[in-house]
Amino acid sequence: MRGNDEILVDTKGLTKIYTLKRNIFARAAQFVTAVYDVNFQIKNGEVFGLVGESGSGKTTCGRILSRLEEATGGQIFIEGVDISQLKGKDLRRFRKKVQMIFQDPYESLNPRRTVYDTVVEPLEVQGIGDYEEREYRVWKALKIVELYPPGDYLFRFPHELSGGQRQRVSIARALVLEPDFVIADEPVSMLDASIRAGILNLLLDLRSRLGLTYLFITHDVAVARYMCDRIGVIFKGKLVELGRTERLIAHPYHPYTKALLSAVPIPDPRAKRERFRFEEREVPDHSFDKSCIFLPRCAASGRICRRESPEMVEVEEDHYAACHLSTEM
Amino acid sequence: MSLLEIRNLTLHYRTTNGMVQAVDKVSFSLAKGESMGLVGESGCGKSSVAMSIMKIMPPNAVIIGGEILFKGENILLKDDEEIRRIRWKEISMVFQAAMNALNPVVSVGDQIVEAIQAHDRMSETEAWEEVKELYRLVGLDPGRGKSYPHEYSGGMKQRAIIAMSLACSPDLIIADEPTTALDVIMQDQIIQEIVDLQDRLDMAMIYISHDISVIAETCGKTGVMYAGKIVEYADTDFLFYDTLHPYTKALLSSYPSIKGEVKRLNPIPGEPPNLLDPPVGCRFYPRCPEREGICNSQEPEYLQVKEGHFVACHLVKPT
Amino acid sequence: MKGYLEKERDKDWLDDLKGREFRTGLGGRWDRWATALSGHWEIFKKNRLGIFGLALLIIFAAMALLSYIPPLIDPMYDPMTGVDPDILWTQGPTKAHWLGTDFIGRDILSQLLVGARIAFLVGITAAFMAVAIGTSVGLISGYLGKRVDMILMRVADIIMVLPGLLVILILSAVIGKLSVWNLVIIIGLLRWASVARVIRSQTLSLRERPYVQAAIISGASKGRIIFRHIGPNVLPLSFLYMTFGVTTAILVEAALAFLGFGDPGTVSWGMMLQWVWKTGNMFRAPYWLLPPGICISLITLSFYLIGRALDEVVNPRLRQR
Repeated sequence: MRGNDEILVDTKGLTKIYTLKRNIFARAAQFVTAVYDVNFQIKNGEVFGLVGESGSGKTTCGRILSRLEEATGGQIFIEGVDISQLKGKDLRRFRKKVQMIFQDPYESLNPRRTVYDTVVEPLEVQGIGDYEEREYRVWKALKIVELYPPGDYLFRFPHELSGGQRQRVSIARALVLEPDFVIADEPVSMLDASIRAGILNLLLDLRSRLGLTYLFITHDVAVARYMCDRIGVIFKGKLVELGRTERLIAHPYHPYTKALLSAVPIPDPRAKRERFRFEEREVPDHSFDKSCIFLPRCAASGRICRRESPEMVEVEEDHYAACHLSTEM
Repeated sequence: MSLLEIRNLTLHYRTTNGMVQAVDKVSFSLAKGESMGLVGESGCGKSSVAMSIMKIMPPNAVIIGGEILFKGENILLKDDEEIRRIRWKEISMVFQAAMNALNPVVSVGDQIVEAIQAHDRMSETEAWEEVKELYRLVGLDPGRGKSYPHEYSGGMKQRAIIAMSLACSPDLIIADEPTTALDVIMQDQIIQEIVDLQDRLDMAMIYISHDISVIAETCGKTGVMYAGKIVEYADTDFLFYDTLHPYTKALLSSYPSIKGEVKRLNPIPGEPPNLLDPPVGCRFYPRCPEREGICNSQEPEYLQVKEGHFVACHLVKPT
Repeated sequence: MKGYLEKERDKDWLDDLKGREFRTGLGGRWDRWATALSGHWEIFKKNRLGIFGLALLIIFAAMALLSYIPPLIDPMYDPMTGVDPDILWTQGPTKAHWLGTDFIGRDILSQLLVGARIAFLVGITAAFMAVAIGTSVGLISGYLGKRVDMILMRVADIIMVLPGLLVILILSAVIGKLSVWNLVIIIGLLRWASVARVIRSQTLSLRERPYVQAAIISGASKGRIIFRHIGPNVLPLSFLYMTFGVTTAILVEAALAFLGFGDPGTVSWGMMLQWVWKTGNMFRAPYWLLPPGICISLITLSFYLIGRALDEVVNPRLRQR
């Protein structure tokens, strides 16, 4: 049995660089760095949030952790095993441990297959049980995600289900192999507010009841605050701040985190918020080792920011930030 | 006299499966310079209401009844030519992901000039001056008018669209989810600008969104729609602090916030009703935590229960 | 924590599924396909032109089936060899020959019926070959990408660039007279490329869909994903192309026959047109000229209309509101 303080997921130097197609006339290939030197750890039973805007690389991290894509550099340890090197049978066994829930409830299910077909597939692929056993597991998975009675839903097609119901089916599919680690990539962004709450609560309940660990990817800070124990803030491929949710939100260090938090609207007409200044400078091609990734937008940069890329520094207990100026004691 | 007054607007959509009763007896009014938010979940009819005001509904929409009085005149009775003159000059609209509506092969400035010249008698030089003014107003670099849409970022495009909608200094601007496709920081900036512009130009504004946080911060009044009806309408402050309708209460408790205590969110069980065949009584009845017998058999009336505060609920009586 | 899909059976399970109409397993699968197909039929039915096309098709299918009958009635009705002892030249419709006879006294109606048979066989087989090859290549190329994709698409490009009719003419000059089946194979081999391109681009877009990614995450093999997930979603497009392919194949066969490159041993509508023309009867024997020409036009029309109606089934956005 794993203890609750043990580290389940550990990424070291996670990097992903895409090479854009070279044509005969280009002198050199063009590169897009989606993720650069990302390091974080997720403890067993924790909900770890990766918060960033679109294009920040958060989805790429999720895809790499689930082996939908290969990292260009770095190592990813899950339960002590470097999963970036897995192949063949080992890879298939890994698939039982790590599952994923996607953003779009309309595209997450094959429109030509029934709920049963969709949820049973992982079992068929992994060769688990006989048909009766599989039928039971599917039924139970649907019950767990509160699609009750499951018999009503087993043979429906996706177009007969609402967005919230589809997302529950996706969750059931993710759970049917009894994984330890679930990567949720914006699972509620496309759902209505009142449905969102239901799915979020479901995910939290499942975490407690089933002992799951989550990587929760989102751009919505308010949702991240509700769901996550710890949060990592990612900007253009780099982790800029990392820490326990309440502390990070109450006392952010990195200018991007401050700007992000100050931009979140609050559902209260009487709440006032102080907005953080934001620049929009043009800066020549950024080199990840030479200067701070946030430089073009930072209102408080100094000379060192142009010369050196800041490292993640522990500013408080279990709270890290990568900024030269804010982390000066 | 109010700038815009909508009385009992009822709109249905003709589909192969029957008539979808998308908007049912919606009424509200807006004075000059006032800002109003229309909030609701998908399918509640808020976008349909917005499209009716500009008369840009899809071909299968049928106005069953009601009036839309703009400056005292019923828009629904006007013919196409009259509406065309009102559109953009007096009422303009910013759509969701409108930035995708920019023609990729024409420079952004030219597109705005086109819009201006379609409604105002101006020479091209004058129109270009206007474009530069508008750019300054929305925080864009006036020198970038000649660039093409793909050379603009998402936020810049949306600002250009806003500039375009302001080109003829309309009295009313309708913003339908104008920031959905943008990221949080950009969204915040654009919203700030819209509110600022609205204030400076003394424009009335209807802001439509599914995100109640944005509406809380930008609009003086708020209307909550559910299944084609307005269920509550009041000054924003009263809507949040003196919430009367059960749906509004439930909706408010399903938004997480980064301020204050972390409270357990309360989802609303069930689904919105099928508008092809809406129920006889209150449309929120099956999901209402406070429902009573009468709610199932009789539709609640939309009444002013307090000064400036309208609710459609049997359980809320006028004081 | 393992075992949250507990070993101990939830008692509700069997109760819940007991009264249900259909269940898992193979029987259930057929039931679900049947429901899906009937849904498609509902949509197809609404397209009037499609129904018209289908009606035409049924008529031609009937013709093809009936083509076996005339020779059984009387050997003189055999389309190739049947010679009416009383008539040795072309003649208009009579009681014995409803559409008249050709230049050596063979019954035109029998020829017409056999022509339908040939049109179906050639059209459908050739189109099926082209689409089968094209779909498989498109799926594999689109899903596997990289080198496989590059090689397959280069081959496809080369084939697309080849001037089809010319190639066939050259081949027939080299090989000698082409039998119908040779023709079918050649058409199949020349026409798969455009199908492959379309299927490939569809595959590329489907490959990124979350449900495919979810299947990958469950550990599904590439083959399974191609044939179970992407394939079925691509098939409607293939069917569509098949209907268009049938029209081309029929027209190609007719053209070749007309030009004199067809199989002299088979009677097809194109062949009939060739005979009318060659024997100088084009303006003298409308009862002989018109039927095959009209049939060719109508059968291609019918497939085309069906294809268009299928397009609405495949592409929900085209449907009437």
